[in-house]
Amino acid sequence: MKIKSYIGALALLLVLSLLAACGSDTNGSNNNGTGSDGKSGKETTLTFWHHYSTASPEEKTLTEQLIPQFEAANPGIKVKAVAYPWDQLHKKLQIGGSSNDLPDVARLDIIWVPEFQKQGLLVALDEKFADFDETAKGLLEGPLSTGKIGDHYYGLPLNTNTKVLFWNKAMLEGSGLSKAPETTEEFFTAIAQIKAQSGKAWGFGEPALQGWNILPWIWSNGGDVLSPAMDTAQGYLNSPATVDILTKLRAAAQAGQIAGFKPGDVPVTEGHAQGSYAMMAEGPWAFAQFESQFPDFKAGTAYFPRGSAGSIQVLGGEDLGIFSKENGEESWKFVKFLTSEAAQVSMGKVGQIPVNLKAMENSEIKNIAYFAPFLEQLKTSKARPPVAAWPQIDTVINDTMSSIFMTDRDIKSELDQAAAKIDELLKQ
Amino acid sequence: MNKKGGLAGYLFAAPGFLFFSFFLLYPLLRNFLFSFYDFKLTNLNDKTFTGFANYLHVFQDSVFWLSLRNIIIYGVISVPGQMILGFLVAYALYQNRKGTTVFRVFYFLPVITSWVVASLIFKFVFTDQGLLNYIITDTLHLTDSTISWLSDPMKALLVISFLGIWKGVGWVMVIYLAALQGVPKEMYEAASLDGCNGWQKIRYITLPAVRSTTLFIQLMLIIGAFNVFTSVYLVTNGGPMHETEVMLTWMYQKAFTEYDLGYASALSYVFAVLIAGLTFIQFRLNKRD
Repeated sequence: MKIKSYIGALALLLVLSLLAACGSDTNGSNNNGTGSDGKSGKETTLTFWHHYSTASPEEKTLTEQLIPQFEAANPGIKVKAVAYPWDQLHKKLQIGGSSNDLPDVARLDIIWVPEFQKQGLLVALDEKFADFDETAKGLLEGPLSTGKIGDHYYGLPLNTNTKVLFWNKAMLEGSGLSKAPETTEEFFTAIAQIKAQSGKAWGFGEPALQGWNILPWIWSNGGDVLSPAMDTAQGYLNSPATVDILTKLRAAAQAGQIAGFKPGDVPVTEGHAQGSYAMMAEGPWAFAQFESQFPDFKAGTAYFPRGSAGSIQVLGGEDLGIFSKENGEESWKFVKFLTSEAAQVSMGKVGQIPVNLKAMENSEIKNIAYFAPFLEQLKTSKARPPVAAWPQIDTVINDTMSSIFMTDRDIKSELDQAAAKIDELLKQ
Repeated sequence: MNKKGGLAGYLFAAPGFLFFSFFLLYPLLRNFLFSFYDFKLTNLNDKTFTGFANYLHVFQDSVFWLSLRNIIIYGVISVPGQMILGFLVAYALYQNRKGTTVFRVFYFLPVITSWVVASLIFKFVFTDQGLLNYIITDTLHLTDSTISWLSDPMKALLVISFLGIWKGVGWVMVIYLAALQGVPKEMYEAASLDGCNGWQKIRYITLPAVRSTTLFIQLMLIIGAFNVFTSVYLVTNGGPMHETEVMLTWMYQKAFTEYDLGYASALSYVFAVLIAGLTFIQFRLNKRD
C-alpha cells in the first residue's frame, strides 16, 4: 500500500508541477494586470530566497532591520524574504529553473553560481546595470571573483568566510601541549598524543567528507582536485601528494585519533566544546553556537596546520544572484543595498564577515575580536573549482572519501576511479 | 428494474472509481511511461525515450542489490521477531486476568508512537556516545571501547530491525488476542485431562487454531518489511556508503536528491513486481498447506 501511495505521490507531484507550470503563465498575466492598475499606486514585491537559519540573529537582522530600512528608502518596493535550509534552497532553485518558479533575488552559496549560470538562470550584472563597476569597486576582490564566469559577473558577493583551527585549551594542556600544532607533522603527533592521554576523546573532529572538509588537507599538502585549467582530475586528485595526505589521515582515523564523519559519531562542534574532540576546523558561526549553547567555553583559534604548500583553507561565502526578468532594476537596488556599508556592518555584528571594503574598516567591525583569525586565514584561502558540475563532483569526492575512510581499500585506485568519474562529469 | 438497478450501481461506484482512477491508476500508468524515459526533475521539458535503459541500469546498479540484500536481512530478523514475540505476549495476556489490560496498553503504545519520534529516540540511544554505550561501558563495564552501532552496516541493520520489532509487536499482539479468543476453551480442558503440558497445548491446539491469522500476519509483515523507510531514512539515511540502503530510501535518493525520475520510476516498478511476486508465492505455499 505504501509503495502505491508513494508512486502516487510521485506522480501527483509531477501533475502538480505541470499545473504549476501552466499556472505561472496566468501569474504573468496577473502581474501585467497589476501593472496597468498600478497607475494609482505602483508597487513591486521582490522575492528574496536565502538560507539564514530561521530565527537566527542573522535572519532577525535581515527581516527586522535591513528590509524595513530598504523599504523605507525605496517607496514602492516591498521585499518578501523566504528562508530555506541550505540544501533545500539548492533544490528549490534547481527545480524552479525548469518549472519557472524562481525568486527575484537569492543568496547563493558561491559554489552554485557556475551551475545556475550554465542553466541560463542568472542575469549578467555587469551587462545589465550601468553602475556595476562602481559598486564592484567597493567590494573585496577575492569574493567578487566568485561571481565571475567567463567575461561576465553573475553574482555580487554578500559575505565571505573560511575555516580556522579551533583548539580546546584544557584538552591540549592535559596532553602536555601548550599550543595548537602549526604544521601537519605537529598535528599528527599532537592527535596521537591526545589519544594516548585520553582514550575516550579524539584529537580532531571532521563532521563530513565533502570537498569543504577534505580539500584544505589536500591543498595544504600540495595536491589538488582539478588541473589549473579545470578540465581534468587526472594527475591531480590521484597525485602522490593527495595519496600521501589521505594515507596519513586514514591511519589517524583508524587509530581513533580522528572521528566525527561516521553515522553515530558525536556531533563535532558540540563535542569540541564538551571535550570529545580536542581540535576541529570550523567557520566563524561556531562562535555563535558556543555563545548560545556553551557560554562558559573559551575557544582557542589558530592557523590551519601548514603543509608543504602552506596553510590553505577553503574559501566559503555567499553571492547575491538576480533571477528576475521583470523586476531587474528593483532587484539590483536591493542587491546594492545588501552590499552597502551600513547593511554589511549590521550583518557583521551578528557574525557575517563583510565583503564591503568600507565596512571592513568600520570600527564596529574591527572591534569584533573573533573575526581576526578568519581574516588572516582568508589571505591564503582557496575557492573550490568554479565549474558547473561541482555539486556532482562533490558527490563523487564524498563517496570516494567515504570508501577510503571507512574501508581498507587501496587509496590510489579509489582516487583513480574518482578521477575518471570526474573527467566524465567535466565533459558533459 | 434490472437495468435501473444497474445504473444506480454504476453511480454508486463512480465517485470511488473516479477517485481511484485519478489518484492511483493514472499516476501508476504515467509512472510506468516515465520509466522508459531519461527524465530529470531539473529539466522537465526535456524527455528522451530510452527504452529499457533505466531497467537495465537498475540491474547493473550495485546499490540496488545492496538494498535488496538489506531488505531481506531486515525481513528475516524483524518478521519472525515480531510474530514470535507478539504471539507470546498475546498468549500471556489473552485471559482477562487482573492487570492484563495495563500490559496490553503498554505493548500497544509503540504502535501508536510516531515512526519519526521512535526513530530519533533509537538514534539517540545507539549513537557512539548514546545511552546504550554509556550503560555497556560506564555502568556495566562490559567493554572499554565504545561500540559503533550505526557506522557498522550489519549492526546498523540490527538496530533498525530491532526498532521494527519494538514498533510492531503490539500490532501482532492485538491481532493474535482477537484470534485466541476464538479458540474453544473445552479443547484446553480436554487436553489437560489427557495430560498435555503447556507447550503441547500451544503446539497442538493453539497454533493450528490460529493458523489463518498467522498467515495473515505473516503476509502483512512481509509487505511491511519491504516498505520500511522512515526508520532507515532517519537513523542511518542509507549510510555509510549506501550499505544500509533499503528499497524505498534508494528510490527516494534517486528521485528527490538526484532528480532522476526516469530511473526512480523504473526502480519502483521493479520493486512492485518483486513484492507482487513474493505475495503470490506466499499465497501459493499457503494454499498447498
